Amino acid sequence: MNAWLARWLYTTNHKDVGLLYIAGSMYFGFIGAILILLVRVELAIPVCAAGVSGMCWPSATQTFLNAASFNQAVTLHGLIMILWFLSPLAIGLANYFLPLQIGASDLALPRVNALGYWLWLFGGVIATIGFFMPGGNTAGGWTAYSPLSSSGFSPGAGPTLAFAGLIMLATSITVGSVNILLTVATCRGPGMTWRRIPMFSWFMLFTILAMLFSFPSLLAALLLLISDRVLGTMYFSASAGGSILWDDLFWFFGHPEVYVVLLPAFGLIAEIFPVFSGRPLAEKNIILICTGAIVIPLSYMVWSHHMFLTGVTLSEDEAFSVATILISLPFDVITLAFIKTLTRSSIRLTAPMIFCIGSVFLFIIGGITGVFLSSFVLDVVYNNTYFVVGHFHYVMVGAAIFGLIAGLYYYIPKMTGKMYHEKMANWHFVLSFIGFNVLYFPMFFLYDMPRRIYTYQSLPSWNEMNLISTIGAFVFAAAQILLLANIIYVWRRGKISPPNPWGATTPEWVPLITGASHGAADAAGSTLGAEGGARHGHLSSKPIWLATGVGISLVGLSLMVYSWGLAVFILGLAVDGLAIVGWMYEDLHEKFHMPEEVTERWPFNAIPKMRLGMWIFLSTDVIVFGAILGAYLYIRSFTPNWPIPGSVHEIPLGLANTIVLLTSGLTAFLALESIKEGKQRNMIMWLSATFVLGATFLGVKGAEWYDLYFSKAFTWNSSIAGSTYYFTVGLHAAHVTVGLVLMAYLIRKAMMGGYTKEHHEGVENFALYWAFVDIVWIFVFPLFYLL
Amino acid sequence: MLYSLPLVATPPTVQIFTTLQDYYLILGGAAAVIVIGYMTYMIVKNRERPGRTVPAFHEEEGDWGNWKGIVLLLCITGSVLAFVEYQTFVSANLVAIPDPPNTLHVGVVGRQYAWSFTYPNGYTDFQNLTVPLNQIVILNITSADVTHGFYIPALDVAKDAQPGIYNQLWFNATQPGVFTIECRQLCGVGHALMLSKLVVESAAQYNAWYTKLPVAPPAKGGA
Repeated sequence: MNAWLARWLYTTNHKDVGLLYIAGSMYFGFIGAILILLVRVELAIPVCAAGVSGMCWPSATQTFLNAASFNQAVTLHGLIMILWFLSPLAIGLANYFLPLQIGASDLALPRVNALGYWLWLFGGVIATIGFFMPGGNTAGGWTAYSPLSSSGFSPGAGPTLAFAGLIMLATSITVGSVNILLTVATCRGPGMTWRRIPMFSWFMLFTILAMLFSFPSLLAALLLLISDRVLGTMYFSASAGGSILWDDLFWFFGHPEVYVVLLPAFGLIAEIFPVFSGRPLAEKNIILICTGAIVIPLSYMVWSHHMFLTGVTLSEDEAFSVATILISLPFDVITLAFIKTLTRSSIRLTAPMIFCIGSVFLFIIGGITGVFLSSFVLDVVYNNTYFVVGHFHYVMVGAAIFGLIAGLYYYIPKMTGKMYHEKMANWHFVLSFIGFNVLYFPMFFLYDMPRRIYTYQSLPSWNEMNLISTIGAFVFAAAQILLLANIIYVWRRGKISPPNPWGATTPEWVPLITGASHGAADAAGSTLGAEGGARHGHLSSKPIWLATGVGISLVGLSLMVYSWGLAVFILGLAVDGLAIVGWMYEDLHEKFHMPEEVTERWPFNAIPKMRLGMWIFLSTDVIVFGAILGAYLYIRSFTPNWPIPGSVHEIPLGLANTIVLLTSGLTAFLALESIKEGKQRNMIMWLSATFVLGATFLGVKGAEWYDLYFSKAFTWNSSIAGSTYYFTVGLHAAHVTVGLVLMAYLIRKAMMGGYTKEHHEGVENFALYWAFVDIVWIFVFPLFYLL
Repeated sequence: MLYSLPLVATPPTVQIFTTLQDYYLILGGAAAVIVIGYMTYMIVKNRERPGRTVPAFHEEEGDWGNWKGIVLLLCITGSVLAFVEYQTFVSANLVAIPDPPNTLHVGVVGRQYAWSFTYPNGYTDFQNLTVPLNQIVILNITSADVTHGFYIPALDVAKDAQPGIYNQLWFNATQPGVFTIECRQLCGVGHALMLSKLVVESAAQYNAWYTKLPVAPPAKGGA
């Protein structure tokens, strides 16, 4: 294969993956921008239907976009901009610079990093091909409120494809966050104590913590939704609590997601402000404490402020309102600390600094309007109006995008070795800033205009503001062409930049530390031109194949309405199977070298790298199962006539199967104990016993399902009791199946003598995973069989 | 209120909302002006120019900084926030359902893409919500299909309509006339046109209209 192509498709290098993320996110940002420009054209002027009692009643027909296209455009604009543009742009910069900042040679798990990228990219592609399906793409808003998003009200394969794309995204984020946390915890360079970690890396760490527990909630909600749409389970459609259930699961993800988008930009401001003002960052530790407080616990405590108008009680409204207003205190401290950094300074007003100042400026407005929205009384009027749209664009576009663009300009000399065109960048800021405010400030005056309407009554106060806003949108969009032009300028004729043009003091600018990353090829401080031989040990074709397989199988699942959907699904699974075998083969034959961990520090001295990763992964899985068991209890509380225990499921058989699974937990533990004493044969024996017990558990489960489905007519689409049973037990069975695959790998590796008394991390991780699978069953069994 | 409606007597819900919004606008606006003004002043004053030097500092100087200043800052912002939050609590009667005698209860059902209104006598109107002037009206809102958002802009009241769940809101219309009722929660292709009319009539007119209605047995979704 062409070496250039192979490099970009098979790369596992953090810098390459970072550049891929940046390029990919800009592509999706372009699509998202086009979608919303269509929307703004549609909203520029109202179109009246003639002669309805003298008023200008909105016209349904003479519009630029019809209702269906408009709804799809606003929905996909939201999804793409938040999940495929803003976050990935930050993740791209983090991929590139976080390892450099902390002196790691790469991310802890390079192939998992590449896997995350391809899952993300293919997820985005799958979500956008929904446009071309009959019936179009998902059109219920990016929040996908239930039951509008169920197949009864949004039929067709298009929405299913979009949700499948979101599942890939959530998976990508989960593996990516485990990876970055692991890197910061275990792969820091010599002397890189927690105190010395630069601010951007700190803020990325907090971003990851905001992702870690929120995305599993989204994943759980999407799995339930896809299952409703494809298999016909009835979580959201047939239950009275379905709409609130979705609201809770979605916003438990959705609110921390706001900070996921915002915090990387704050990290860049915290890097750039000191460098360009010649002063140390004021109140550095207090900023970190405040950010920590925002992420855990505050960001996970405020989701219900998106639901003030649903049927929650007044006291809940009051509690969530207070929690929400509390979150503005740490942001207040952070913002003023940024400003304090500017006192007694000498400010160089070059592009990175100007964009950062713009970001803080716009964040102040976005933050203060956020205080308005924390009031559950003002929210009665503001909820779902353009006031909300204005507020969150000031935060997400104003604060986040301006900050990220500042980061791009700041790091372009580092990434390319060349300098951007300063004057063009200055004009980029001026036009962006003016365009931005002309676009979004009028929205605060539209606080009585509902969002997501494609045609509206002609009211003087609405007409002017909508027209001004549309003009601003085009100015703002046109300004971004200057960014693209600047990148092309850098590429074609950019002047060579000194290695540290800004006089920054953080480690990523020190050429020596840069060089430590993947050998001499990077010594020039650039990867775009570098094609070092050192890189070849780090190519792996497995991540892209695995992601391709996941993509194909999810497309097949979404197209199950067609007769060939199942075939595509099975093809995807086959590709996945091959990719996983290939991945394990690379490990067994040591074709792929992972970077050695350099130092480990408190509190992780005693915990090996992989086991820490397993713990982090399992903590996300706890959230997935917690959300799904919570969903079960919630909709059960809304459902009368639940089957009496023992009437559907055979309790003695279930109990026997529980004992089988718990025994396998014991044998897995004995396998670990054997290898700790160095007894390889015993370990293989106990692992094989675990394998047999696990397979027996699945077999009995299969027999139970066969009996329930065919003899008792207890199916997943016949009742809510059936839906919850098959879904929850099925998800557990999927975990057991993964455990069996892991065991097959462990047994094969053990037969090759891969585990010894000293090196048996794999067995330990498996034992941990298997214990988790057992514990989940201890919750599932009584909830479904006994209660 | 930025765009005041030409009302003779302000409805109580509008009064509550505008009073509360004024607190937020004044204090929020003042905060924005002070902080942005201070930042702009700092940037202009400290911009790089010939002869400007930065006073010497230690790299660790910024680590903890002026923690007493932070405490002071938290006290000031905290009390402003506590003040506006207190005002919100005081204004909670906008959403809390009052229980005086002589209220009119109307059942509201949202469906794709229209509202229907069921009166105590069981009559269901699929066009307009007709209410008497100067009387407290309590709406019992639900949905027959997907989530909708019931919103009367002129009265500053709103509540979601969700299938299987009954949410309540109240208002007291103090000006006769015809007002718009909008759907504020994306509910499908007809969302933008899911509009109804609120007709406010004098008590006499309303009673004349109400007594002439065809009486049906109370419907399930009714009051």
